[in-house]
Amino acid sequence: MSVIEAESLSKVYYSGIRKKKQVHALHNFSVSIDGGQIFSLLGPNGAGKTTIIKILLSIVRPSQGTATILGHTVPDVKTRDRVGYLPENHKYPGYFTGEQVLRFFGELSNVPKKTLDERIPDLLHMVGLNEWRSMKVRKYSKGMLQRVGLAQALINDPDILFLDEPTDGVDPVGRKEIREVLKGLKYQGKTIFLNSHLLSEVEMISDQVAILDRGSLVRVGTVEELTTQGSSFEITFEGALPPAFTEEASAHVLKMSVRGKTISLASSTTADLNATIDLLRKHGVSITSLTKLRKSLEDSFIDLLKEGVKQ
Amino acid sequence: MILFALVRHTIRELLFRVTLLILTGISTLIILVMLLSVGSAESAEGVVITLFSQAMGPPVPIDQLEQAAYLMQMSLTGGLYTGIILFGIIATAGLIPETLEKGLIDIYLSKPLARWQLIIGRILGAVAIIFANALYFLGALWLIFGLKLGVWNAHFLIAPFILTLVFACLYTISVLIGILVRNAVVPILGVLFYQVVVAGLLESRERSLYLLSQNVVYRTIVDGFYYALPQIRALQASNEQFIIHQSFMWEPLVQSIAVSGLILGASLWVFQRKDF
Repeated sequence: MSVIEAESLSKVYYSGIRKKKQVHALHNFSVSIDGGQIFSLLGPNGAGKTTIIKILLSIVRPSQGTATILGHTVPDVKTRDRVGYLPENHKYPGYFTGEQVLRFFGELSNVPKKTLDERIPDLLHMVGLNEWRSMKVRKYSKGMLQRVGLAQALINDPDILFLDEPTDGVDPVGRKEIREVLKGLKYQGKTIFLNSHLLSEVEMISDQVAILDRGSLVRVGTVEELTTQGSSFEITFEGALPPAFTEEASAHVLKMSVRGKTISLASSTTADLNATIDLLRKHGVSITSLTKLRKSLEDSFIDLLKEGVKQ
Repeated sequence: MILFALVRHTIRELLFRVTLLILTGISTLIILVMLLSVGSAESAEGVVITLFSQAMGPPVPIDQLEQAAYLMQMSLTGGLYTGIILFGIIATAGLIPETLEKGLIDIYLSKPLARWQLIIGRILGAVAIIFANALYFLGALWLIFGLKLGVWNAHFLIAPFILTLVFACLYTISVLIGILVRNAVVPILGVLFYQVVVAGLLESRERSLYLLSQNVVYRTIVDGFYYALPQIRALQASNEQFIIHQSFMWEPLVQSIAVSGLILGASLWVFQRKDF
């Protein structure tokens, strides 16, 4: 069941004294996100990633289109009842301690005092800030601010979590901890909407990825779908490849190359792939592995953006 | 609960402001000086009001002592109003622009609160702390006059309320400017300009602006501005009259509340439509 629905969202910003200069931050963005998954938005700077989150949270009004969150239409206040948000470059009043940040924003989220008393220590422990709970946030490092920000976003035990660059400024160990937290939240059934520049990180934890470029949606899919290179395979074998094999196989493959004991090939259908394997077996070649080729998410991302530019 | 949390947070935030601490410090100093220095001595001609044991003027006949005390209270109120309101505006003008800062406003607006609640919560917090300060200061002065001179002027007790109302009216202007420009200095300058120049000229328009032209349209426009903006000066004057037991003028009170309500409405409308 989808928990976030966006239909033809567009946003045009007007600038200049007479508001005549237009910036198209988002163009006809539609998406449907199922509950209990990690959905990531990728895109270069200025692609419109933050604008989407801000529209969904009623921080920015769309120029066109509609959106619903958990069945409520944006900008209804109820859409924000069950969500948490960690914005990019967030800031808190400097005189607050980490604990006070959580208490204040918990109260603004309508969380009862008794629940806050129980939840705040748990969250501080979870993000590794228990020791610094009484320190003023003005003294926090960037990484500590990210951690308290994550705890703040979780203070109302949200069903949907919007995170904009959650690991920005966090050291590798901290990043891994945050990833583990996000995976844990996913297993609790929460939906996580993630904006991140760190593609390797997104690749590790995301169920669905959407790629945005200059305000338009380029592609949505699972990491598998985005990184699989069509029907390209790699076959490793033992023994010698008969000279006739290359010519015979050309009837079944689109492209093929042999390097040492590895054959790289692209076939248009599964039947063609099987025919190629049968051919190898007929020649008595022993197959040791068959791998579907994948690109890294980073390569896929760059390729998709290049395609977008060409179009 | 949300509104209460915002009000509490605003009060807490203001308690950290140096300007407000200075205001409270000055108030306390004046209270202490008054407490220690004001006195009275009876003489054959009447009662002499003393300050640091020095006569503040000729003896006042006993039946006129109350009136003399009322006049003192009225003079004090006039000066103190300006001070408290000036400090109050300087201390609170930054509240709205700081709330709208990138990174913080995003978090506020992602919470299940209506935008108007955010602004109203901030305003109520600012007004509450100015009221507490005015009550502390003017309440203490009322007690000093009662204890030292035996003058318990109940009319003086209206002063903290009117002062808070004047502050609230001016603060709505500060809030509107703050939302529009998202800067802490411009609202202060805007309010000072309004209080010192605009309100002053409009209040004394018959002796100032009217002299520029006898044109009926011009004078109607000037009058229009007078009635379309909060009549802060008239409200203060009305309070001073009430302290010396003259009748209270309701028109500036009602007009200022109504116009400030409209300014607040405009602020909320602008804020509702803003993207962050």
